[in-house]
Amino acid sequence: MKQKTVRVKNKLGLHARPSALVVKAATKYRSDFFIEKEGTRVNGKSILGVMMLAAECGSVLELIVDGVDEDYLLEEIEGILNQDFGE
Amino acid sequence: MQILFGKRIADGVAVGLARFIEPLIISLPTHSLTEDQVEGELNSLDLALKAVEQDLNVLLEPKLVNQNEREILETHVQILQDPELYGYMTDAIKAKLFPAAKAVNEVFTYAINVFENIENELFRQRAADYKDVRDKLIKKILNDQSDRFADISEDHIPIMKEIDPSQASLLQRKHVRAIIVDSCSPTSHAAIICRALGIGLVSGVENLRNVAQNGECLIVDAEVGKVVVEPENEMLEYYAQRLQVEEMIRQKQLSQKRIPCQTKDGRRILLKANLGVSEELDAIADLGSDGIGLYRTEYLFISKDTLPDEESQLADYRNVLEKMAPNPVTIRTFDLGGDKLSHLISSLEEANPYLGNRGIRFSLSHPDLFKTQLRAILRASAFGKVQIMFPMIIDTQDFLEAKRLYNICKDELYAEGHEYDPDIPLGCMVEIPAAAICSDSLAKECDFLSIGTNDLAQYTLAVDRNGENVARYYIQHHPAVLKLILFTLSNAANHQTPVSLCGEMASIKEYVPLLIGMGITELSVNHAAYYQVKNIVQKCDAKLQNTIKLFTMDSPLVKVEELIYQTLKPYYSGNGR
Repeated sequence: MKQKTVRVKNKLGLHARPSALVVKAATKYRSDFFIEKEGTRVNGKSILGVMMLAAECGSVLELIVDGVDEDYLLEEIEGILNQDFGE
Repeated sequence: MQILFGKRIADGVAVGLARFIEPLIISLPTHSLTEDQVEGELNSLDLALKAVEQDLNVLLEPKLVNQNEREILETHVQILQDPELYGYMTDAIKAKLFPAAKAVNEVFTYAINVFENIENELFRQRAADYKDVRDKLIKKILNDQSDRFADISEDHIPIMKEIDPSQASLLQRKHVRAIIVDSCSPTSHAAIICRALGIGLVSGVENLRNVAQNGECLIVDAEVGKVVVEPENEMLEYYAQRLQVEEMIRQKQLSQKRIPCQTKDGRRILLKANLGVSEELDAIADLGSDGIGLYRTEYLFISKDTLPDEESQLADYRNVLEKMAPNPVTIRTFDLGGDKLSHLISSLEEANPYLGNRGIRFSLSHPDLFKTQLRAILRASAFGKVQIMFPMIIDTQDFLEAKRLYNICKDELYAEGHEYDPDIPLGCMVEIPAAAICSDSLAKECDFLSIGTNDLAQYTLAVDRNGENVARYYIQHHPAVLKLILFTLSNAANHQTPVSLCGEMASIKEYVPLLIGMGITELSVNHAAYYQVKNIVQKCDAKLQNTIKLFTMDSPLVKVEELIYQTLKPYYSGNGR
């Protein structure tokens, strides 16, 4: 299991498009993936879960990965969260 | 006979029998399941999830939707595939003994409530997606067993309250030619699909439900929003004839479409189309052309209040490339400047904008704007075949500078991990006499050249092509212009660089034999002139080549006109050889 703290950087937050990208990427991997925000933990492979976090710009998120391909999963999700989504 | 009118949504003509299709009334089941029904309800939930996903894929597949709509639909697919949601729904069926439709309703309504209570507007809007998917799922589950379209055939004209995309494509498979609905937005998915599939669609036909009965004869003429109930014989005959003629024209064009464009003696001429506004795209994609020879991208700006960003340009270019694939699209970078962009960027007022900071000059002096466009084109190149062309080039200097910026964009995208075609051909417009005169060195540097005759004539003859009192001097076939074209062609041939001609001249029938005879092997024309030009090309032969070869361009203008309007007339006038 690995854990990493990240901050939402893009202006509009984790809205529909970024959430969709996160979920799309996460479902490719076998490892479990959870996102935690202010004590609320959601399944990172669930579009409902990720969007319900309503993570705005500046929100602090805890990424939790667990499984055989957890390193790759974490790396890809971090990459997505570092984009600015053209905003 | 009664003639009624509604709103034109998608064009098409049909004669058929009225067939009212009543809307599905949804009433959620309230009963509890018995244990042995649980398996069946789980199954029907699975089937509904799969069926709704398939409906969405129908829309996503043929690229009928733009980038925004695509993202919404893809989100809907993700909602259908959401493991958490699925878990909640199956739990409700198994533990609470809810029927599938009720389970869907409960779980989705809970999610919708959560979204509606989020303060951030952007997140709150997502409730709409969940409502949409919920309704589709419930309809699917309850509609499982009843196919309301089972006995509809090509003889029918369905009349419905509203229509969704999957119904439109289902009716098309049943060869229905026209549909009437109570209401439908022209921008809805169903409307887009009807237009793409060639089904006539009329909405809001006043009084139709009072006048027409099931099984009565109807004529739908969607182009004018007309519906005729129980038509008289004369009118029926007129429409029967019209349908026959349309069918004949369609067959003829289809046969034209399949033949590659070549001269009588077998010289292949690439015949492409010019694309200005995006509304032309469908018509162009349907021509069976060799691609788009000139995509005027500045139109992206002209209708907008803001500068389009990389993503929105990417979506536009990608759409064009995908529609035209596998044929190439030549994108001309923005030909802006002068007064064309004054509402967006405060540029210096120029006394003579045609000789000012326009075309590539403007782009090179606004490198950020230019790079955004180049990046968008590069990223779009992963989805089709593209060539890039720079406007208003005078010599290799500006071309090489543009190429340098292009290479920087390429490196950036590579570092960012984007996909693109690494071998995009780069070329330039030959529309300034200087470029034609320097065409030897240009042909050496460029992967292709494209002659823009409108500006070439204007600059060569020093005449404003929009100026009324000098209109008589704007002569595209002036020997000076023709000599520059010939000079460019011969220089390009030395370097084996392909040349196309994309100016207005290519679309004017009188000029086509002249250009082919001069040795042009690629034309890009307005889509309306496409088949006419193709027809003329097919009449051109070796004798024509000889005629032009023997003609000296040092002749005075009257001699050139004699050549075009007399000697070459048989090639473009109706009953030629």
